[in-house]
Amino acid sequence: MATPTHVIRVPRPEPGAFNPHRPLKKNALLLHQVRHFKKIERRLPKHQKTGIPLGAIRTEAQAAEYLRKMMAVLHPQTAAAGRSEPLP
Amino acid sequence: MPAGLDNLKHIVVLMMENRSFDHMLGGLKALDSRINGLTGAETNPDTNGEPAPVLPNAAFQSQLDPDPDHHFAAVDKQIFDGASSRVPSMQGFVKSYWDQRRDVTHSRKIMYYFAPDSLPVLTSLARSFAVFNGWFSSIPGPTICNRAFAHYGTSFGSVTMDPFVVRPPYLSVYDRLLNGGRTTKLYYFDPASSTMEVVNLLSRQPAVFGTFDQFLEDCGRGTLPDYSFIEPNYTDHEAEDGAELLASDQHPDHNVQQGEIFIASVYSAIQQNPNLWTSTALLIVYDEHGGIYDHVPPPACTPDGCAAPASATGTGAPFQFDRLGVRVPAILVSPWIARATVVAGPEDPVNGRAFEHASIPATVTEHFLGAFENRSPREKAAPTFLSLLGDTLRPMSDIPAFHID
Repeated sequence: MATPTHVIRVPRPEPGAFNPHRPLKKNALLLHQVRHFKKIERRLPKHQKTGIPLGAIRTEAQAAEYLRKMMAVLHPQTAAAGRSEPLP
Repeated sequence: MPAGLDNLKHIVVLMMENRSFDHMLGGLKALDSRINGLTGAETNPDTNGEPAPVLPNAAFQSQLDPDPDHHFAAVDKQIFDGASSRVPSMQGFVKSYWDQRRDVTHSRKIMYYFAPDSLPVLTSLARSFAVFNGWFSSIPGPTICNRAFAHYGTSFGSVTMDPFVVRPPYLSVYDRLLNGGRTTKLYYFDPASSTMEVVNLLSRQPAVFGTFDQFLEDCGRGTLPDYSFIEPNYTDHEAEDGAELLASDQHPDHNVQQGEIFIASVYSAIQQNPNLWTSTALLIVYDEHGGIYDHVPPPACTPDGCAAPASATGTGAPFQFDRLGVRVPAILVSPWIARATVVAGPEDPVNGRAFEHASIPATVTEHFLGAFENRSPREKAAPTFLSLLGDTLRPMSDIPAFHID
């Protein structure tokens, strides 16, 4: 099969776009996602709880770390592998 | 049966976050008058009564702060502008955004849209394959209840971000497929981004899930399941090796260009496997408009058989699930689709169709399982989209490819 000849250039975001310290309260979607995980966590046995109180999750980075810990419990099939490579 | 449909073995859906059709693709009307985008004359009144025009000034980041309100009551205001007549005028977007910061100048930014060359991936795919003039979010409300329609064909009466309760006889599209001996996977980006389907699916059916890395591997090895649903990265976070991973969901205030790269990566993974490319249809769609302006009034629709009480809508009135939400971008990609297909929407009262997220399980179920009775009234009424695949396989010389700079 031939390769495409119409190649479109896609720019990358400007340096500085990465903002893991963005306040969680600025993203209603992520805030609710964390709350959903908290509801699930309440049903977990004590040894599987993260010990992270909801009030301690204030930034995207903290939310991501909390989700990572919860996924290690809920979806151990893939949680251990994580993701090591950024997109091309 | 058209050859494209006869060859179709895989359906892939990528659902992005919170951008309206006009915001992302409205500028394409200037390049193709069939696309129901912006003329440039559209306005909304601001709180001083002055018209705020649409302008091609949308920024990739740091413009829509705070996150525009897209809960049910706010969207109701955006659509109806408080009119007692309940005629959808799409005149309340600027006033709704003003409610959050009470800054008139800032509130007018909700009318901004991207010039087409700012979004080379989305606009190239829209112009090369099929763009829908009439794909609407399923509910004039937020993410979770809208995404529910993509997975179940109903939100079981929810119009909010709260977890909903799945009630028989309706099954998720994943359950239907697995029960029918088919294969399916819901790919989330990585564990630190996770999935929006945590309560009903992940906590009960972890085997249905995989990561985006696994999606890329499955594409490369030719082991993609019959049906795949992909979730973008929802958080800016570091990988385990410290690499910066930008959110790619395009949810304000996440970087829109990173979302472009993510869309390109999904497309390229399919396109670079020749067998997969000719046997796969990729739908790129957004879950809801995120409070951002669109000029097309959402049409009435088949009621869902559910009702949301006034306490849930926040408008003082219940909702009967009898009107769709605001229009969102939707593009169907396949080499079996004629170049520059524009799928008519409400602007064409004769041939136009109103697609919504219930069209996803309706299409997947119809193609892989055939007749299936236990589906919501909304899903049964939702149009399916595989008739866009024809008999002619386009050559690769007619297919776009992307290079990340």
